[in-house]
Amino acid sequence: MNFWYESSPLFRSMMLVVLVLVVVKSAVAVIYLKHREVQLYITLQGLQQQYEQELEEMGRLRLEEAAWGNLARIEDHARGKLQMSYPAAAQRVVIH
Amino acid sequence: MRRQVVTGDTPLRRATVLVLLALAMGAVVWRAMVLHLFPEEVSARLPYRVNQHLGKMSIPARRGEIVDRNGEVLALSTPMVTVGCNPQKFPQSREKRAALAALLGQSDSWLKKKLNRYGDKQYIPLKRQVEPEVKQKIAALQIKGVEFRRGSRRFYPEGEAMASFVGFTNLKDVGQEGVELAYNDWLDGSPEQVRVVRDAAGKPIETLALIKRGEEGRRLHLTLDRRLQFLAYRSLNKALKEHMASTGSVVVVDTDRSEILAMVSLPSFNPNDLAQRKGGAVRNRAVTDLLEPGSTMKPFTVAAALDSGVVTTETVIDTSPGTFRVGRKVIREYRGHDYGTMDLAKLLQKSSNVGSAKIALMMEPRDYWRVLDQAGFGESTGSNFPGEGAGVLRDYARWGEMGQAILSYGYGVNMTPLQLARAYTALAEDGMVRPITFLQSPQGIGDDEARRVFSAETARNVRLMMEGVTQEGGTAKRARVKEYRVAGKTGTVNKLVGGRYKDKEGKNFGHTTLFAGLAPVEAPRIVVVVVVDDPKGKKDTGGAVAAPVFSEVMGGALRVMGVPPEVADREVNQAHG
Repeated sequence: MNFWYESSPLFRSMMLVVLVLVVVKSAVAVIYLKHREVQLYITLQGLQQQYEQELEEMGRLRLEEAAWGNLARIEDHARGKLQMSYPAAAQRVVIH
Repeated sequence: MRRQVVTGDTPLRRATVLVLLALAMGAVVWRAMVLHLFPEEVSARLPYRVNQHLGKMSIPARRGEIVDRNGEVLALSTPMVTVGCNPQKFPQSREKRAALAALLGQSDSWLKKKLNRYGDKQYIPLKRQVEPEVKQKIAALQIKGVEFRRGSRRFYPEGEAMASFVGFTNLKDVGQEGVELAYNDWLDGSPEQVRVVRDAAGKPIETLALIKRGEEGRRLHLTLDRRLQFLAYRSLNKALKEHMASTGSVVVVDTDRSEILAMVSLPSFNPNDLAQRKGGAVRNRAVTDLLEPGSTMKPFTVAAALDSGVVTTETVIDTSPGTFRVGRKVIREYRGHDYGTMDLAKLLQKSSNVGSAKIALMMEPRDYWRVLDQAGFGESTGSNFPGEGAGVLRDYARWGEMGQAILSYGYGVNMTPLQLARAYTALAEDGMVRPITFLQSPQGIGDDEARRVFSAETARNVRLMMEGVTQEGGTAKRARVKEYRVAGKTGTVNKLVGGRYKDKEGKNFGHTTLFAGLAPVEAPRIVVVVVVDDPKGKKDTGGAVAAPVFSEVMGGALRVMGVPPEVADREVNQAHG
């Protein structure tokens, strides 16, 4: 038993061309995707590294902030440089 | 048109070409399959070709940070590099060795010795915790065999003020003391390991598989307040210097939530300096040192007596002539005073030993013991701090009359400053006591863990009596806090060394001064306990040494916690202004 397309030489040759093209195309796509994957992976690595660096930077800045905000230091500055002092009990009035 | 037959185009020739091509193709496909399906096996057989493209990569994990109740940093890890080298690959160039040694801050001969001694090793660490800039300079030398491994260093921006509480980690970032030790597992992260494919330059280009799942270190949120901690540290430090005392500690507790707000132990150390991390300084005295509570015990004696019904707030006790014989021992007032007759309020205000001993002996030992036991004497506070002492409260069956009498003014029992603070929360929280915590949690410690020590009415009465301590005629006027009503109790305790209070020459081993108190009196929010050990100045009582520290710390705590000043002060202010 023959299907109609099996008896059509024109259709068969066209089908062959199409299938060859599809196979080649898919092969190229596989190569491309592999390449793309590597590219994206490298980007990801770069971004991860950047993330690490930013985290590092944030850690440094937070430490710096904490160091500047050290209360002993602030008090030294307030008392020494700015000549400030804590108000004595008699100088304070509570507003209710 | 007929097609030309190509010369030599025979079926045999076609078949031969086809078979050869098919074989070649089959070989290529087979190889591709093997490479894809069994990369490890291939890499084992061809170690030099494939192994350099396959490798492990470890993604480092940072140790979690420790923050205070407002999210301010108390401990933070930053990445640092460990410089190491493979001695077998290290070049025999003297110049390069000298240059590397200089960047590591060492001498050329040091490096030479090290390389010779470990010549058979694959890797030796040369210097830990190298800063990124130095690492780049070393990398620029391009010495073969030099490797960089990731490490980290932990910083403690609060330095000495927080040191004994937070603790520290060792060079490998493992907790050694304090909270760093207690919550090491929580803070610690583990690195993730993956198998990767690398390109010719050694850059990873593909992740093949996960070898070990890693975990980032978690953040630890404490209930401590950085500002209060500093205030307590500064006040205590000042007091130690002023009174030439050796050690001391302060505990501040938020009674509503049963949270520790500050905990200072002196002498302290700088946790960022390796050399200072040793000896007694690293101990957190507020939780490890056991001391006899002395007169700070008296409020519990009075509360137990009130609660068991043997006395009322109107009961009058005769303490003349200032001595009281129990068995073979004579109980005396401090410095031989004779206070005559007194009610309970005056008993606390004057801190009468004879008075407390008398009311203690009116009670059934069991009733008295029950109150102390419920208040957490001789029981861990539940804070889970490493090295926490639990103290000792002996069973009432073994007290005897004298034991019960001296217990009433805080001898024959010992506890940590933190335990004392927790016991005082019972007075503050209308008779309820809960486990104490230094970890922030949304709901705090639940009421289901609370237990009743004495009635709310007793707690309130005792608080009002304790207020007298800070008023005219009390032992600690200097404990007052302007704009607030505070209640507290002083303590001056002879030190117990090896079971004795006096040395061979009959001299005391020095003494410990305490002040424990709470505020505001009507609706307490804060409990503060101050301990100053061995003051040597002229004024050496709890009221003179510990009370001023209490006043400063309590004032700061009330302000920081936003407790409104009490209305009772309004008239005073209006009268003044």
